[in-house]
Amino acid sequence: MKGTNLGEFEEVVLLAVATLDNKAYSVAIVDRLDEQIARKVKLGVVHAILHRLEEKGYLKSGLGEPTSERGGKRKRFYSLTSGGFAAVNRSREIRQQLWDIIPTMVLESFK
Amino acid sequence: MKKGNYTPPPRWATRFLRWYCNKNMLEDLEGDIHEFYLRNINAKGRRVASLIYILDVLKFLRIYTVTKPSINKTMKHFLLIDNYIKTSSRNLRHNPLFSLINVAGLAISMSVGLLLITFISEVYTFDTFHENAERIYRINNSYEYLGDENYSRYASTSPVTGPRMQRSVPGIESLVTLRNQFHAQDITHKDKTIPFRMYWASEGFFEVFSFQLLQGNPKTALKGINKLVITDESAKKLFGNLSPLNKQVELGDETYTVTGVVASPPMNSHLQFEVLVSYETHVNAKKGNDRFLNWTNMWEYYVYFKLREGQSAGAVQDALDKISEEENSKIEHTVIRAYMQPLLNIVPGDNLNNAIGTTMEAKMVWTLVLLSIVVIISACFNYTNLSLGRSMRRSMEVGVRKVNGATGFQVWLQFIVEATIISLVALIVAIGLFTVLRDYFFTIDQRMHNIVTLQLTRQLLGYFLLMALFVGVLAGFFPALFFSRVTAFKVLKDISKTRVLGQLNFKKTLILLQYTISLSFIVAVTLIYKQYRYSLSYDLGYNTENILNLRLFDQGPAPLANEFKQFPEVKNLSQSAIITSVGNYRGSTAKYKNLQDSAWFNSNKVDENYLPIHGHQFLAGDNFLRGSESDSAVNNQVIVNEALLKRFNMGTPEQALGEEILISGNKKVIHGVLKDFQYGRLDNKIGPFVFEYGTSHLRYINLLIGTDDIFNTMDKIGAAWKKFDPVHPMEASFYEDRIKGAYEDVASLVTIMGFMAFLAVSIASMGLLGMVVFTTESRLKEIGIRKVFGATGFNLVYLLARGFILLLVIAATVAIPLAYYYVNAVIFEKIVYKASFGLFDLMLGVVIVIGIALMAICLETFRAARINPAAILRNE
Repeated sequence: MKGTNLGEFEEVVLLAVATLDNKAYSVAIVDRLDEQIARKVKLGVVHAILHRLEEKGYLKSGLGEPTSERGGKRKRFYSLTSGGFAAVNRSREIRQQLWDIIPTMVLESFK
Repeated sequence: MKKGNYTPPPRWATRFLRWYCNKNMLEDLEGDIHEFYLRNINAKGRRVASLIYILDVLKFLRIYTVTKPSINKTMKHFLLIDNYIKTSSRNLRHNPLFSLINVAGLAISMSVGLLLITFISEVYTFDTFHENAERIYRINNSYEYLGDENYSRYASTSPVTGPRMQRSVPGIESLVTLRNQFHAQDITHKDKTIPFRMYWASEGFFEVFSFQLLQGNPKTALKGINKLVITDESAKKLFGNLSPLNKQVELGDETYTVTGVVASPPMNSHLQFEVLVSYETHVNAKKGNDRFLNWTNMWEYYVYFKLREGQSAGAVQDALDKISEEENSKIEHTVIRAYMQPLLNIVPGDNLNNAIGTTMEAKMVWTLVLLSIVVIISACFNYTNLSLGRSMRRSMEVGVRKVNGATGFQVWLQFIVEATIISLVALIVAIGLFTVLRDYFFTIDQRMHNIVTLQLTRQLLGYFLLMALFVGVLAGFFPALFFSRVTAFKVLKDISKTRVLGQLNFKKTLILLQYTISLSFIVAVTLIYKQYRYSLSYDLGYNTENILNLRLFDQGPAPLANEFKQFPEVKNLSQSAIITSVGNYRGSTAKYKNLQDSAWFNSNKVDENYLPIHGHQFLAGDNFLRGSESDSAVNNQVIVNEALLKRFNMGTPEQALGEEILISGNKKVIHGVLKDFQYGRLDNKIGPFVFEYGTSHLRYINLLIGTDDIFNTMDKIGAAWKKFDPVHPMEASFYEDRIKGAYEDVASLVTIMGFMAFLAVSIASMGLLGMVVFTTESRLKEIGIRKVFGATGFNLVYLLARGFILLLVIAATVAIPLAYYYVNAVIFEKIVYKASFGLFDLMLGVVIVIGIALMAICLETFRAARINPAAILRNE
């Protein structure tokens, strides 16, 4: 079901926003994904995802203070909404539930 | 990164981003891209960074980033329209002179425009009612007599064309051959005889055309001989309420069966008929006549055909070229080429000889269009000029608007709205004028009643509205542009310093143009009118005074002539085949000793009384001997003019007497030589002319009338006619009136041009008056000061009027040669005998127009000059 379940990349971006606390703007997110999980993503992709997540209500955003950097343009900072937190949390729980019921035999066979 | 090294990303890309991007997203997005750009400059250099920047900008062009077009935003400008209308109408009310001049000028010129729109929209519906009209064509012929430099074009073709095309030309769906019967023919049913306009039409008629056959079978109605199809209206006249089908009627010496009833052709059909007779009847009658199927027999037959769908017209033309080539190889001296003309281009279309049905020259239509556009534009100039003239007052208002945040576009829109309001008000007046003008238009040319109705329809009103809007935008465009560029700061700081020198020249140019146009019109009309008078009073070389020409129908003239001879008012009478000098020609070719050399001549066939009555002057020989046509000595006598002697090098008139010439294979003896006379219109160069002698087939009786009571005489003649021929109404007219009728086209031209000239002059004069008033008003202080320092009234008038007078003089020097050249080279292109124009003729109109203008200027400036300076300067 679209809208309730998170896509994989959406989840990653939400988590990245969460890790950045209140300094999460698009360029920082791109950088974070690169350094933490070695994923090279384009700004455009991240921008579009952020926009979509905001529309779904998982993120909220606001403009920061103007600085002399970046041509004097303000940054748009994103933060998780409670809905957003619930969504990532839920997807972690789903995984955990499934992990929990994997028979130990199967797990051991991969060791 | 050092600050000094910084180069901004490509400006256009940024601008593009700003243009398309949603305003809520723009700032951070632009910042993000910019941040990457800065990084890339350090890592990869400026060029690559710029490139990536551009790509980024393009990549972000996505549905969610783009600004959604908002209706509100575009409507914002129009929400103010309410306000514009209010201020505009207030303005118009406060400046009655300005409004009056503009509304009047626009209304007058637009009423002409309305008439034209109505006229054109009707003219262009001609023949469109036929199904697949765009696939229907007519075969026209171009005729070239070898040795003659130019060829002439005919709407008619040879009777050979139709059958040959059906045999050998591919892609023809249906084809019809028509024969035109130039005069109405009498059709008799029982004891009723009525003349009808008729065509001979072959069986394909109802396949090519969509004339509605009400009764009868369209496939067979015109098949076979002695069949006749009649229109419903004519059937009613002839048969009353009885069913016409299968009735027998008499036409000529034959009996015909009515095989169909067709709906009367609508007014917008160029073919107009009351009766159609099966063409096979005509072919049958011509059986055995070997000249009938000649390629040169191309004067009375018309071929129309419908192309099969998807067929190219080019292939048909190629086939026609081949047919023409084959046929031309059989004849000498003449080259005749068949070519096709689309049905929809017939009316309005080229001016063709032997045209069938309704004709309307496209050139004339477009001349009218041009003239009206010129007049309308002239009225628009008035608006432009007067608006700019008042610019000082309005600038203040614009300044205030701008300070309050109006954009240039909004100001522009405001002035366009204002002009449009004026033109809409003018439209209402124009529609009123239009109804008056329409009646007047019909009186210019009687034919018009048969061509157009000029009725208003809802669609036309739509067009009118469009025109008014267009005129409004056109008139308001320059003022609107000017005011939208006014800067608030300048106007509000010191209004008196905003002098716009540029627009002064602009205004002068417009006035100059207006007057050049008006004066050209006036000069052209004067010249055309002079030529018209000249044509009417031209010395033809024979007498036309007091001669009443009476047209005969198929009856023999003898009893009627005998009756007329009893009248004491009829001094003498003669008979002739045609009436000369009114645009009728009856031509043939003649040969003299050299049988290779044949000369074209015009002729008339007359009886022995004709030449004395008409006072032709003999140079040698004398009048026809009287006798019967069967006597060859009588029948063979001809009387010729000087030009014929010259053409054949026959020497002096005396030497030519008794010489023989060959006309259509018959030997004719020259019995007399006449002084040259003008037998055609003045566009005809006098050439060889031959009077043949005859007593039969003479269509006219020429009565030399001598009476003080012309009405009584006409009544008597009319009564005699009625007794003699109850079927046909009498067609009699005096020679002078016929000549007048022959130049009716010139007369219409004079009327139309004269009317246009009048409009142009009135509009230009009103505009000038307005300009003078405004300029004078804006210089009132200057005038006051000058007066204080001792300027006289004359000084002031001179000061104020100088500029305008100069303009008028320049306009006159441009207009006179222009109009003179145009009239001589274009309108009178074909006229051989031209009136001579003196300086007086050229100057007359110009002087009058300039006189009116000067009077307006002087009165107004004089008024200003008389004002007490204290009254003006008191406020300073």
